[in-house]
Amino acid sequence: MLIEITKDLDQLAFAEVLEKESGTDVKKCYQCGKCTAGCPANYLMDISPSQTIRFSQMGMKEKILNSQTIWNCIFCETCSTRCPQGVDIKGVMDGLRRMAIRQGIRPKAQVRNLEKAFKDNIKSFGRVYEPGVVLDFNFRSGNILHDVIYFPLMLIKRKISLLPHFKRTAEVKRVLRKAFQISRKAQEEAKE
Amino acid sequence: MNYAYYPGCSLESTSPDFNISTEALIEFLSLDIPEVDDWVCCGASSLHPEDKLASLALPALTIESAEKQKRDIMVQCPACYAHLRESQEALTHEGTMQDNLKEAIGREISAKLKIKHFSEILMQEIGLEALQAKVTKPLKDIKIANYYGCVIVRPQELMQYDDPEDPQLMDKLVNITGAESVSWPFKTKCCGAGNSISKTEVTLDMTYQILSMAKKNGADAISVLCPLCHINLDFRQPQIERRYKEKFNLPVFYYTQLLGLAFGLDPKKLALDRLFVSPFPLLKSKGILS
Amino acid sequence: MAKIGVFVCWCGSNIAETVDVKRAAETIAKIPGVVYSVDYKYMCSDPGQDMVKNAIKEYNLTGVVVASCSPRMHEKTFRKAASEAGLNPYMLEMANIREHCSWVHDNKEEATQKAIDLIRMMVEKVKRNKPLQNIKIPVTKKALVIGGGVTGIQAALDIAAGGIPVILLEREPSIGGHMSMLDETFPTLDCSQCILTPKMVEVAQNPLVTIMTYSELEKLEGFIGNFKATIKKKARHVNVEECTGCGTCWTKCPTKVTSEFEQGLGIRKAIYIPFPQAIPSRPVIDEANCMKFTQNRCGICAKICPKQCISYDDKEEFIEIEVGSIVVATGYDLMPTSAFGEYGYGKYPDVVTSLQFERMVCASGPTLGDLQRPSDKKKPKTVVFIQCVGSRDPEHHKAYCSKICCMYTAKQTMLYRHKVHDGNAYVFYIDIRSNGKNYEEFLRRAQEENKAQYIRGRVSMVYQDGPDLVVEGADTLTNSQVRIRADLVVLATAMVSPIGVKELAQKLGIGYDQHGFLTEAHPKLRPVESATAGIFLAGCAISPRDIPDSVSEASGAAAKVLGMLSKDELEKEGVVAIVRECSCTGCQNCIRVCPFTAIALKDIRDKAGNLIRQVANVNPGLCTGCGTCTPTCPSRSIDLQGFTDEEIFAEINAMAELH
Repeated sequence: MLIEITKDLDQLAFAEVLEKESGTDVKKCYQCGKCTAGCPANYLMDISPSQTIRFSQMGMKEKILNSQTIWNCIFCETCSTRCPQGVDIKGVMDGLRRMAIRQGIRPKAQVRNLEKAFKDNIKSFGRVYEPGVVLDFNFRSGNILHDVIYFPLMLIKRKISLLPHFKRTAEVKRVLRKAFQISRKAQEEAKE
Repeated sequence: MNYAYYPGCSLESTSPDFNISTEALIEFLSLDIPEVDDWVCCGASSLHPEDKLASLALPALTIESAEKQKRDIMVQCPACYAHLRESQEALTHEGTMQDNLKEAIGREISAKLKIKHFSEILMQEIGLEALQAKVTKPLKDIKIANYYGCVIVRPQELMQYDDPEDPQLMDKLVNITGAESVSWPFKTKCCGAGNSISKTEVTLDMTYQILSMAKKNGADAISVLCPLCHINLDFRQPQIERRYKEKFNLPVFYYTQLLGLAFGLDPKKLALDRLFVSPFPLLKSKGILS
Repeated sequence: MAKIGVFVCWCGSNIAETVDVKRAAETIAKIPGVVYSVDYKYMCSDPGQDMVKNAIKEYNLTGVVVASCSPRMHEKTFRKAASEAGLNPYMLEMANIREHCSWVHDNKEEATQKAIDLIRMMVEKVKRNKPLQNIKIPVTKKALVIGGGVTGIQAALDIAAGGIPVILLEREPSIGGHMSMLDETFPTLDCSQCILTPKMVEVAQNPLVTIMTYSELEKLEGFIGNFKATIKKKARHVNVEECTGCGTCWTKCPTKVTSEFEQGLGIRKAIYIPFPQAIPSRPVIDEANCMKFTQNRCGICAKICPKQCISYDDKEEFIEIEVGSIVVATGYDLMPTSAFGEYGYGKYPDVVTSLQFERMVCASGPTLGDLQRPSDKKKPKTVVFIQCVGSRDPEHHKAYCSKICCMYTAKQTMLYRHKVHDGNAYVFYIDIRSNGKNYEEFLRRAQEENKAQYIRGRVSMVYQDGPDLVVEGADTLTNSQVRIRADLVVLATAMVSPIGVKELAQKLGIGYDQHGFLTEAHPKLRPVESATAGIFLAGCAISPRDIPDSVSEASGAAAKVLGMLSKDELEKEGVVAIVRECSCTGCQNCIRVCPFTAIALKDIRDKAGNLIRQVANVNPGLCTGCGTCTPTCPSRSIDLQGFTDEEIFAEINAMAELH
């Protein structure tokens, strides 16, 4: 791999965009590896958390936005809690994910399908109806029976109800739509 | 003390046992904690990776409801707790996010209220001594591994719950029941919650490590304060046992259930029968239930 | 008849666990001449020492053997105790039955036997010991500081503050050293000149300090407290007393020369002061470039000098001074950059050294602080700093870390960003060493606030491509190659010992390492002393270090000098060589081998004053009692007191008899 640094290139431009998105300054990272050391999901990542930060410092946007790392972070925040430099690595992962979603990047991991299932569930009911989320996720991921085999047991244990609760659905839908709108507008303005 | 209870979606659907035992304690301790009117989902872990503003707007609706009731918020689910706190931060600090929230919701929300976890309220507003005085059925000879998970302790600046590496709050609550909290290293190691549905095998891996470590440190049972941790440790325990060909048989209690037992409440009122790993053999062998 | 007392120590269990101390004491008691032999748990404790003292008095002991640890540990302790009890301290010897016996053996029987042997040897030696007296040496209360950089200046100031006259010696035309060339200093970013100039003025005005610039040490004789130094004063060709520093001469001088002070980036004249704040602010004629000397023409300066201070006929002078103590603060140089072909220094004008960069950004530099790259005077938009140039490269250059480059590079990135707000500063590093007060914080500021971009890896090469320099390196953190188009490349070249230091060290009789850095008497516990008594070290002469460390050491060395010169006489141990003049043939073998030049020839004359012959003579002030001389003497005429042949042979015989 070769990193070309030309004179007109603002090497830190990406770091600054990322700072706006995530609220954390990746320049602060001095590559001690504390985040990677404690990351429970590191083994699922193609780029370790500390290397993700390093690539961000070096402006290697495409490499990290297309990595599987950002989709495998489980937001446990062990990294951000322990970082000696106060870098919010979880926040960076979160931010990178939002940037990737906006760029239309599709992850191999199923996590986006779950997030979409959750979002639609919230929009429909105002409160999450978990069996519904699981079913929706299964349809999206194509694994119809995943966890469904446990439904009868869950019913016996009275762990799930047969029907969802509906709460303020119109309002929730409106607020979410509006929020997405505002964010999109801000993004477009930033591009100009 | 002037709280309204925000159970959150999990406690209403897949973790009714947590909800039932919480309400049993509220009743037993004669606390005036009604439910927040018309609360909605906190957005769970699905919104923030896609849209920050949306993820802060949903909890704001619930905060507003409590505000209307003129009550502070009592919460049990750590994820809800974190999202409420984060939303409150944004609502109370001037900036773009505050403006955008106002625009998205269409109203201003002052969010000047307390948001507390039930365990904090027990600890700080009722006190260990007062609780201890109510113990009638001490849980003798039971060793408990208290498992806090991630979200209640991290990020510390936001949650301000307890030490993120070796929290003690639940240990102290559990200790008054007469059970013994064991010292163990994985109190706040992630159980893989976020992956539970989308990448189940990963969660099984991570939860397996937690179960093993609890067992190695001599625990008879685990105590948790998070519904998602509970699903992974309790509901998925048989799956883990099959996957790793290892028997754990570690009942996973909510801390509210342990307190309820020590206060002499009826096991049914604490929804102990709804646990997947049955706690009854253990409780009977220790002479706590007959 | 000798009356010897023997004291066998247990050292808790350190000795007693492996050596049967009781049996040892009992066995030794049977040796003829031993009148008292005892064992005790801790001989070095107060009660233990009292046992020695009481026995000396009670049994009128003529000699004592303490069998315990190494003499390095407690010889002083026990000799002091003996002396307090009225016994000459040199009549006490130690048998080392701990380091030499109990700690290195397991078998108790054998160890006990060995301990007995060791004690017996010492008993035989001490029987033959002679009382010795400590030697007293008079002291010249004056000090010499060699090197007029910030370290030498500080040392001179501190010595003078103690009331001792100091001569501050500097080989360049002005004091000030490297610090006067720097722009701002880490980690406070205060201006180097602004904090150094007051010190230079202070030392110049101090009535106890004599500054001798453009002067070098020619020769050193004598010993601690009594050095005789010969100073070579190079010909300045300017009468320093008469000259007012008006500047007419150097303004009119027609010969332009590349300025050493500006690191080759500016010019000076053939008659010049190196920089405006120079002390003394008196010019000097550079004979190598002045036309009067090279072609015997011009002579303008002499013609126009309003005070007629210029004399082309000046010759170098030799001045002898006597001092009691010396501080060596000769500083450092940067490694010659010709060594780094891959970085293209010398080939590409825009590859500069860190010291050149200092001059390029310095307000008093050749461009008055307007940063321009040398080739086309343009403001550099991208600067690449390369660390560890020559340092940490034992295969090709220097094995050591130059210690200050990490910090000054961080500082230089800041200075750069302060001059070029939208500029890019890249730093190639292998590790970052920022271990000083507020250093790490400073470094973080360089990276976080000043946006210096650090790349972990070495640079493979630098080459010119059109107006740009292309730097090819690696970033090991992303496992990538990196190629940067830059306007300017700054090399943090290794710090090395300056030219001439080895010769100086030989003149002084002090040690230096393979890199030419001066060697401390002990790297931890005697860091500002040389192995030669009376000569102290400070600053980068010892190894690369920063200004705070150098200045602290200067004060440390000054404290050592003041401590030494606070006494009217110095006292040292009586263990020195002595010559039997009647049998000495004057062959000079001993003189040749003495590492401390403590032996010289002495004339033996008859009553009429005629020279009969010459014999060796030991200067007890210089002799360290190392014993190198004694075995070289063919006539066995030189002996070491306290370790005479007779005493040593007695030890050997005692052992030989037993086996």
